[in-house]
Amino acid sequence: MENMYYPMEELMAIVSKLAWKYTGCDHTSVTYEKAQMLMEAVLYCINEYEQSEENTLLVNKITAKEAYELGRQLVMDKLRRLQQLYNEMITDFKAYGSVCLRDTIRKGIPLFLERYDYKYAPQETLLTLDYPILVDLSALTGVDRVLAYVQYINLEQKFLQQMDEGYILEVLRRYHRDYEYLIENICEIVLRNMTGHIMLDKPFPETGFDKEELERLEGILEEKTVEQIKVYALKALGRLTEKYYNNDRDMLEYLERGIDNVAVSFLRKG
Amino acid sequence: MEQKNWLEEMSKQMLTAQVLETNHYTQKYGLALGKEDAALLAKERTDVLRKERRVEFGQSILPRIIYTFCDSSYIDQNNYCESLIRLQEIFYLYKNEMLDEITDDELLEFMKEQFENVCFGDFDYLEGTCLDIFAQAIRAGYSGYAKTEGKGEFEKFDIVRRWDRELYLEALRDCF
Repeated sequence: MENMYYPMEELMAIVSKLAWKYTGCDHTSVTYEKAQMLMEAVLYCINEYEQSEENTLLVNKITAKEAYELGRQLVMDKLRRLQQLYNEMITDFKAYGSVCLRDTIRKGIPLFLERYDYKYAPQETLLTLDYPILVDLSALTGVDRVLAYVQYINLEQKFLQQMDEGYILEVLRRYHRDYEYLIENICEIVLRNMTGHIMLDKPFPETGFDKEELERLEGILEEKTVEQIKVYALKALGRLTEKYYNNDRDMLEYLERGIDNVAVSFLRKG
Repeated sequence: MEQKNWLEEMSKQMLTAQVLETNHYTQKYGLALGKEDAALLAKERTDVLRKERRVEFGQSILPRIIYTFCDSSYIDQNNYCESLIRLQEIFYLYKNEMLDEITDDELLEFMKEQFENVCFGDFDYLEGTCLDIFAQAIRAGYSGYAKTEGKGEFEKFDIVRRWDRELYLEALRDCF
């Protein structure tokens, strides 16, 4: 992890001060591992400052110390936003029986909020965030990753809560008898079922597909490629968000990430 | 690489100046370091830090080692520089061995007390026995040193019986 804008002596001066505070002024030296952790903390904050859109052009105009301090402020702001978003979301949060989703959100996120060390290790994600979402966040770490994760979970909750809970549970049960213990994305499973309904013009409350319906679906899918199914599913999803979710662009963009898997799974089943 | 060397060089120069500064205080104990000694100590410090995989920011521990040990009964002008090199090595080794649980002051206090009263100036005994036993206790979770600031700690873990009454009486009988 390096920073191309600031000279090493400027960075070392910041790490030195941070190390002094970290050791409570009781130790004049630290291990390589601790020094590396502190250097990563400094670079994480500087990067945070550099990445914020309005600052991209100012990077060369301020010192590393200033960039670090402003970046650290941004990290703290993100932590506050995460806390606020979590508090708002958790009151109506539903795991729909998924143990993985429940544990990740109800146990994992509070643990992160409790243990996250924005001063000395802001780069640490602390959690494995086991419940899979539709977006790959592996390039992010620390509060950046957890905040993005909770924002996407919030979109999933908004998407699912607009539907009848009984319908969702039935779809999940039909997908797998022990779906509660699967480590799979719930939205993707529901989205697959919904796309099938839209293709057959079948009302959502009727969850399953009988033999005749499956044959019809097979007929529709028979001559279609993955790309064609994808285009069809995207259109259906667009109509759905427009009609039931006030044309929420963030939600549409997020759910679109799951369309690839939905399209492939249709072809596999077809 | 060039930048790293530059930083290293600057750090060495700073330490050399700090070490020479201590001469004002240690002269009353008949101890003084020359420029060459100070440069050697700075070089040894760089080597030992690298060996022990530690980084020292800003103020070095070496001046504090000097101020702590300059009144020792077992250090004189002839072994002064060598003693400081050994003490520096032992200090960093046991910072790691004690998992950074103990502060610099506590470790120095403990080292000084053992060096004077138990090891009688023997660095190998200090390193291989006293500090080793104490480090084992700390790794096992002992934290009593925090209350005493490292003073009077070793007796609690000492494996050697320091005063044997029977042996003393036997030696006394042999004298008469």
